[in-house]
Amino acid sequence: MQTDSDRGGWIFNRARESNPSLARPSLALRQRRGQSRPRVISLLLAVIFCCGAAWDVPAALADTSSSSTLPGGGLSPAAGRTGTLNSKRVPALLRGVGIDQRLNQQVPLDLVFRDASGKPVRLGDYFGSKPVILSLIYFNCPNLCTMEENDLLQSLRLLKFDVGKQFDVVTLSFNPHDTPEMAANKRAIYLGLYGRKGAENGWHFLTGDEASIRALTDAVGFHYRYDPNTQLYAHAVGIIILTPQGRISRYFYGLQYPAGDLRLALVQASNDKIGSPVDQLILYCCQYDPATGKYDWIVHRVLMLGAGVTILCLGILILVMVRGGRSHPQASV
Amino acid sequence: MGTVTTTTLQQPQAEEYRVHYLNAKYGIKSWLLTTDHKRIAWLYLVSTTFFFVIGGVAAAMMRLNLVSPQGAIVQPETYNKLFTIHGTIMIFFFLAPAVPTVLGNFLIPMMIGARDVAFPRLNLLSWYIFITAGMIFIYSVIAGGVDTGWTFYTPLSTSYVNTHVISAAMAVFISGFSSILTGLNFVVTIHKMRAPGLTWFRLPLFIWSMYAASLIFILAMPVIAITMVLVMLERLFHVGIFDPALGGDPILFQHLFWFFGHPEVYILVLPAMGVISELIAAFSRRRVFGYGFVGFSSFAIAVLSFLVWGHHMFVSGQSVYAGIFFSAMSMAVAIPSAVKVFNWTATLYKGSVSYEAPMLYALGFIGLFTIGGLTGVFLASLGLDVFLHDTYFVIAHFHFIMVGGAVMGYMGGLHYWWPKMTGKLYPDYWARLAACIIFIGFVLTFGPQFILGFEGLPRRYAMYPPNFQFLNIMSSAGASILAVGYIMPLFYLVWSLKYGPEAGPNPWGAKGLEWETASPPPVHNFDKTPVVTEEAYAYGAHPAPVTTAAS
Repeated sequence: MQTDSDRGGWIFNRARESNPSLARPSLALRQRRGQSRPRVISLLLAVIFCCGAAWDVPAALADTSSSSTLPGGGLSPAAGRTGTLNSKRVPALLRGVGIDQRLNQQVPLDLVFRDASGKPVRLGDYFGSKPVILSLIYFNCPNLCTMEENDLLQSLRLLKFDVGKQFDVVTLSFNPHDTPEMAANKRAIYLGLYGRKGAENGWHFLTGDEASIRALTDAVGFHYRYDPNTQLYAHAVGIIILTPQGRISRYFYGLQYPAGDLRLALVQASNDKIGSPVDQLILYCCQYDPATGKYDWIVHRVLMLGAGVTILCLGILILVMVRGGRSHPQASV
Repeated sequence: MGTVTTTTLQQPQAEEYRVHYLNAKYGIKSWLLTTDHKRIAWLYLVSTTFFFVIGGVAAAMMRLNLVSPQGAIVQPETYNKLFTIHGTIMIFFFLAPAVPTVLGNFLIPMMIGARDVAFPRLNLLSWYIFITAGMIFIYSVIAGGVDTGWTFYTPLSTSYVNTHVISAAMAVFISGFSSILTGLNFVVTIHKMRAPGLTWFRLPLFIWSMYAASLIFILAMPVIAITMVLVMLERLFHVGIFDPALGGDPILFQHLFWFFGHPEVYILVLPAMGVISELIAAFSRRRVFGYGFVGFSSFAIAVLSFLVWGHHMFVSGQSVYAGIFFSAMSMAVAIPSAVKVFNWTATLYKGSVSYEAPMLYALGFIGLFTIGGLTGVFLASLGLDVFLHDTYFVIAHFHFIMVGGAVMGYMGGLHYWWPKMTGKLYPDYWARLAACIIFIGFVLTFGPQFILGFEGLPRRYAMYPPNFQFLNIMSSAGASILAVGYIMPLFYLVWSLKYGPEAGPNPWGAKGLEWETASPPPVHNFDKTPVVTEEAYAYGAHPAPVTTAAS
C-alpha cells in the first residue's frame, strides 16, 4: 500500500540509528511508528546549513506530512519536485539551495580545473571509457562535506568495483578559494583509507575558478550559496553518477549511499559495459525512482500480476469444473 | 505414534475377518507409497503429531523460563530461538496442515461419497513435500536454530541475525507447495467427485469450509513462498529488497508477509469451524441452524481474510487511511464469524444435546473462539491497537483463536472420527476428562496473558519486571495443565488401537455418508457408489438412513 512513501522516512531514520543491529524485532517495530507520510517526502534532501545552524525545517516546511520523523534535516520539496528551496517560508540564505535533477543532460567537458598537483586539467580527460562519480564539496567545510566524503568512501570500500578500474571518482571543490594543496591533502587521506591499488589514477581531487565551477554545478543542477557572515556555504549533499560520455545518469541524495544501489547505478551508467549477468537480472526487475534516487523493486507490480494470473487460472478451473459437472457416473436413483 | 500402525497391522480381527484399508496391505512400503487418501491421512497424523510435540516442547520451555523475572532456564538468545521454533512449527507444520490434511484427507472423499481424492498421487507428493520441508526445518533447529520469530521480519532476518534463516526460510518455502497442491486437490475433488445426488446444498458444512480454506491455500501460499525466496535472495546475495541499507523496503516485507499471514489464520480456523458444525449437529441431533448462512459465512471469511492484512501494521508506518480501511475490514470479519457462533448455539436450542468428548471440545471451541474473536475486535480498532500492539494481549488473542479455536476443533474432530479411522472406541471417560483438562489448562495459560498484555508486558522477551511474576507463574502453571491434557489423548487413543472395543459403522448415530460405510472403511470407501437423496444433517425427520445404494 504505502511502501513507497514509507521508504524515505525509514531510510533517514535508519541513518540516525546508532546501532540498528541491536534493535530487537519488537523494538524495531516500535521505532517505525509514525512514519506514515505521503510520497512527496521521499525526496530526501538533506539540505543543512553548513555552519551547523540546526534549522528546524520540517515543522515549517513539510506541510503535507502530519508527523515529522526527520528532525533537523529532512524536508519535502513539495512544489514541483524541483529539489530546490524556493518557498517564501525558506530563510533567505537557503533560498535557491538544493539539487535539481538534470537527468541525461550533457556536462560541459571542456571546463578546465586544477588537479591536486596544481596542473590544469580538462574535465573531459576523466571521461571516455568509464562512468564517473561526481562529488561536490569544499575542502574546509567544517562538517557535512567531510561526512559526505566519508560516507562515499564507506560505500566505495563495500563496492566490489575498484576506483580506477571500473569507474572514476571526481571530487570537486566548489569553493574557488580552495587550493591544490588542500586537494592534495584530502587526496592523500582518502586514497590511504581506500587502500586499493590503481585508485591514484581514478580518484581525482579538483579545484577551479569561479566560472568553471559555476558552469559545472549549474549543469548538474547543484545549487549552493555563500554566507558572508559565517564565511561558509549553504549547500545540498549528494553525489552524481555520470556516464562515460559525460551525461548525468543518477543522483544519490543525502548521506549514506547504499553500495548495492551504487553498483547498479554504475552498471547502468556504463551502459552495461561493467557488471555481471546478476546485475543485469536485478536491473531487469528494478526501476530507478528519481524521487528517492533509489532503485525500487517492482515487487508489488510483479505480485499483483502473479495474483491476477493465479486468480484467473483458479477461476477458469472452477468455471470449467462447474460447467463440466461431476465426473462420477450418474447413477439412476 | 510409529507403533500405531504396526499395532494395528498385527491385529487383524480374528473373528469375522474383513478387509479394510488398514489391513489390505502390509509393510512399510505399503504406507510410504500409498495413494489411499485414508492412509495418507495417517501419514499426516503421525507427522503433524511429531511436529506438535516439538512445538509444544519449545512452548513448555518458554513458559518454564518465564517463571522467573530473570529468565529461569535459558539465555535470551535461546529464548528467541525457542519462540521462533514454537511459532514456525506450530503454524506451518502443525496448525496449517492438521485439520485439512488429517481430517480433510480422510473425510472429504468419504463425505462426498468418492473413492479417493481427485489426484491421489499428487496427494502423496504433497506429503513428501511437507515432510521434506519439515525435515529441513528440523535441520535448522538442530544446526543451531533461528531467532527471527516466525514472522521473519526484515531487515533483522536478512541482514542482522547470524542464525539459520536460509534453511528455515527454505522449509517454509517448500511447505507452501505442499499446501498449494493439497488445496488444489481438494477443490477439484469437491467439484468433480461428489456422489450422485450430492448437490452443493446437501454437502456437509465441513466440506464447505474445507473448500473455502483450500481456496485460501491456493491464493495465499504462493505469496509466502515468494516472500521467503526474496528473503533468501537478500540474505545470500545482498539483493536490496527489504533492507534499507541495500536500498530495500522493510515495510514491503510486512505487506507481503501479512498478505499471506492473515489468510493463514483462516486457513487454520476455517476447517476447524467446519468440524465444529459437524460436531454440533451430531451431538444435538439437529440440522445446523441456518445451513446456508454458515456455509456462505466461510466464503465471506475467506474473501475478507485477504483484505485485512494491514491490521498487523497499524504501527509500522502505513497511512492513516489505509489503517482506517483495514480496521473496518477487520471488524467486518466479526460478522461472518458471529454468524457461525450464533448459528451453532441456535442449533443447540431444543436439540437433544449429549456431552460426549467431541461435543465438549465443540462447546469449548465456541466459548474460546468467541473470546478470541471479540478480543480481535479490540485489536482491530486503531487507537487501542497502538496501545496493545506487540504485547501479551496479542499473544493471548491469537492463541484463543489458534489453540482455543483451531486445536480444539482438531481435537474434537479427531475424537469424533477416531472410531471411523480405526474402527475402535476410546474410553469416553478419559476423553471427557482430557477435554476438560485442556479447557481449564488453556484458560489458565492464556487468560492471564490478556491482563499481562493490558498492563504493558511486551511479547518476545526472555525477562520481565518482577511485578508481572504472579500472572506469569499462573500462565506457566496453566501450561503444565494444558500439557497433561494434550498428553492424555496420546495414551488412550494409542491404547484404543489395541484394546478398544469395536466401534461399528456409526457409533454416534450420526448422519453423513462417512458413517454409512464400515469402520474402518474398505479400501475404496464404499462398496457401492452412494446416492444422496436428502439434505445434510437430516436428523429426526427420517430415523433410518435414506441414502440408498445404486449400481
